[in-house]
Amino acid sequence: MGNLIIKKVRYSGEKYYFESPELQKGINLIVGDNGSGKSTFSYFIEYALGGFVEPFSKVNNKNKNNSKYTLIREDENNYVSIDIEVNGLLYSIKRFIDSNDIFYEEKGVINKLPIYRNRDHAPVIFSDWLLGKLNINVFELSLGSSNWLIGFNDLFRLLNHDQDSNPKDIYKSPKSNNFISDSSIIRKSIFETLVGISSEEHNIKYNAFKKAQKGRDESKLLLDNFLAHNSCDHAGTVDELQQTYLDLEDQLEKLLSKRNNLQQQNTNASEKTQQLTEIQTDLIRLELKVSEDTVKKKMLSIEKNKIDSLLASRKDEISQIEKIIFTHDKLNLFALEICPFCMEEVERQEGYCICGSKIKDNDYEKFVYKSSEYKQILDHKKKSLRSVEIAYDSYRLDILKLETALRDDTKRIVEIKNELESIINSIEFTGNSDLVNRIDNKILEVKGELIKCSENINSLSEKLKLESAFSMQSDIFKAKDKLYKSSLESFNRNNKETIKAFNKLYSELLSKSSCSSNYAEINDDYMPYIDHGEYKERSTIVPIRLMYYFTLLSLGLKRDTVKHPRFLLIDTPEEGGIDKSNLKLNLKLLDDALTLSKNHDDEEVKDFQVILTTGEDKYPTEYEDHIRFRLNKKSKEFILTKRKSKADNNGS
Amino acid sequence: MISKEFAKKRLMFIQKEDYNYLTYNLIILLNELDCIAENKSFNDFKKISYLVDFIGSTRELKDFSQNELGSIYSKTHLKKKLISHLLIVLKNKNYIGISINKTHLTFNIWLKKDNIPESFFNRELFKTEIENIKKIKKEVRGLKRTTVKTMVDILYTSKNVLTWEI
Repeated sequence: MGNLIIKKVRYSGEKYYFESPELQKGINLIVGDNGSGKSTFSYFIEYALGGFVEPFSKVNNKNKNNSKYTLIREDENNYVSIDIEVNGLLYSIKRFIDSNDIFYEEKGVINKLPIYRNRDHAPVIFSDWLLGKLNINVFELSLGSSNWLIGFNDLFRLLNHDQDSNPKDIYKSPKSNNFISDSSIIRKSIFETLVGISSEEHNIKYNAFKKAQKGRDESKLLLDNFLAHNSCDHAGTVDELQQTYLDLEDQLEKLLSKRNNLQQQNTNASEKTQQLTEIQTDLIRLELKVSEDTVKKKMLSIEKNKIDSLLASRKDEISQIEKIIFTHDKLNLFALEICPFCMEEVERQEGYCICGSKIKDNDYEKFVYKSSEYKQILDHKKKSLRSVEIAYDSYRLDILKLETALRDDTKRIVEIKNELESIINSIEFTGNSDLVNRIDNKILEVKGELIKCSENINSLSEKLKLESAFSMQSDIFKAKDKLYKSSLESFNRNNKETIKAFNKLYSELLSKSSCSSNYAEINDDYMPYIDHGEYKERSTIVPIRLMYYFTLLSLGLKRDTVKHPRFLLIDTPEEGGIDKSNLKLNLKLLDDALTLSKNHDDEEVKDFQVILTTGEDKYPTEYEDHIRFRLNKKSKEFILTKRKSKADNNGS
Repeated sequence: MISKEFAKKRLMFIQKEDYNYLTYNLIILLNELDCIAENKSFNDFKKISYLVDFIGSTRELKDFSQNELGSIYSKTHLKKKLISHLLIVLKNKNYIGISINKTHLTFNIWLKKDNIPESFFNRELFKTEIENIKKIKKEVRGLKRTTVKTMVDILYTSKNVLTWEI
């Protein structure tokens, strides 16, 4: 339950100003003739409460040429401020013209909030604050893809009985006429919010229900998705599969140990190793011998070459001696019997030289040889040549022998190497390699089965998990569904009851009004339905709308569950050519509405405020006392007063 | 029976320094170089002592090692005396002619071919010597006219044998 009372309305600009007298609880009448600014007063209140007042806007209003609003639009540094009392607490609200921010004073602290919501920059707006003060919970409406948060401006559509809207609509026109802001669901929400039939509890349950539904749908989706991608058609439970897995692991272990045993048996061929070692020793010995022989052969070859050259030089010598003998024979240069100088033959005495001196053999170092002597030297040389030849031959033979041995050994080495190789190869191929291969294949097979089995286990457990999640979500959903449905039931029951009460009040008020209907009720869209749709004259639209507002106020006063802020701002309803007496009659029904709000006769009417702006003589005379101030165009009692300041002094 | 005296003589036989050995090499050389008249004479007989060992060998000139060349070079100087002695004997026998070159102070020699038995010019017997002389001629240009120094430079010095001026 909330209670909004406007205490004071002010306007201040550099050129004009306005300050209302103190407004009271209960009925407040502001009387003025056309053009004196009654509507302006209403606009001030609406504007200060965060509403959109098109005439005040400095843009998009060029075709409207109303001098009243030109004054405001062309005024500078101007603002509207109102003092309000909500549930007994005082607040001051101030809004500059053409500004989308509102300053409000709360317990001496001035705060600022924007009017329009923006999820990123302005998540909290002035309306949230005001509704919070009025104990009205803001809730979100899902309208297809967009979400909509109810605001004070929406509720204001049933608090402000204005002249601009089509009275048939009952509701005041929204700021912008689009299919969302004036959709029936929003209108219904406004009505429900005001009469309190959209309870918070219900909404919470509804949200929980929605959440559970979403959770169930998600888990169902997950499960379906999983089943679509994984075939879980294998037989058996998780336990059975796990048993199979363990069995397979066992089998694998056995196979592995069997293979290892076989391999160890193969490597234990010590005989072969022995054989190999022997062959290797042989090989090493042979290779050593070959290398020794090679060195020996090299040495022998060197010796042989030396002897070869000696032989050659000896042969040279022999041929040379032969030539010497030839020369000696032909020329006989040094025959001892011929004087070398006179060339005469000399009879030489034995033991004496040609010159007659005695020959001392020992003294001679250079001999002259006879042909026979040369021949003997030749023979000697030939003999020594022979021995050199023998030596040469023996070297040659030795070398030949070594070469043969080397050839044989090299051949043998190659043979041994081949043998070694074949033995090593035979080691590789011996052993039961076939069996090992078979075991290997088997191991691979078992491993494959293991992987498959573990996959099956995983998918099965995943499936079970998803299934249990789904069933849990389903249970939750069922529980929430039940709660929500029961809540909905009681909610509907309560609503029916509330609407019944509304219908009763509305019917009673309307029957007394100029409409004088027999029966009135509201339909599913909370729109009036009078006398079962029977034709009514055009002017009856005024009471139909006005009584609707009165009924809401009355219901708000009657019931604590109703969230109506017990505030009405009524502009004189003059549409449809309603005559003064009827108008007065209809307005007078406010008293009835207040009386009907009493639950029993002794009860005091609770705090409320109705601000009624009307024309001269267009109000019930009983309300004379409630007139707060008058506006009169002719006597220049216009709502805006020109400041007697600079503007005047500079005046035109 | 080989007498003790002959045994000594045999042992003392140095083939490379034998007169007859030197003689036939000299004759063949002069003949091959066509030094058979005074106007065709062989300049400076000392050159012969440097050549004899190469003429008589069955080995190629390039096959001699540096050591062998060095040994040949040092023994050459002993041969010079022998050859000069031999030249006197040969001149007395009228087998060669000798003239003195007064400017170079050298003895030039030539072969008196008419007095030499025909069998010396048997190309079969002295085949080796003739072949060697041809090779030396290729190695040393103008063998007949060149100086000792030029020839020694080609045959020894250029092959890293230590030589000295005499």
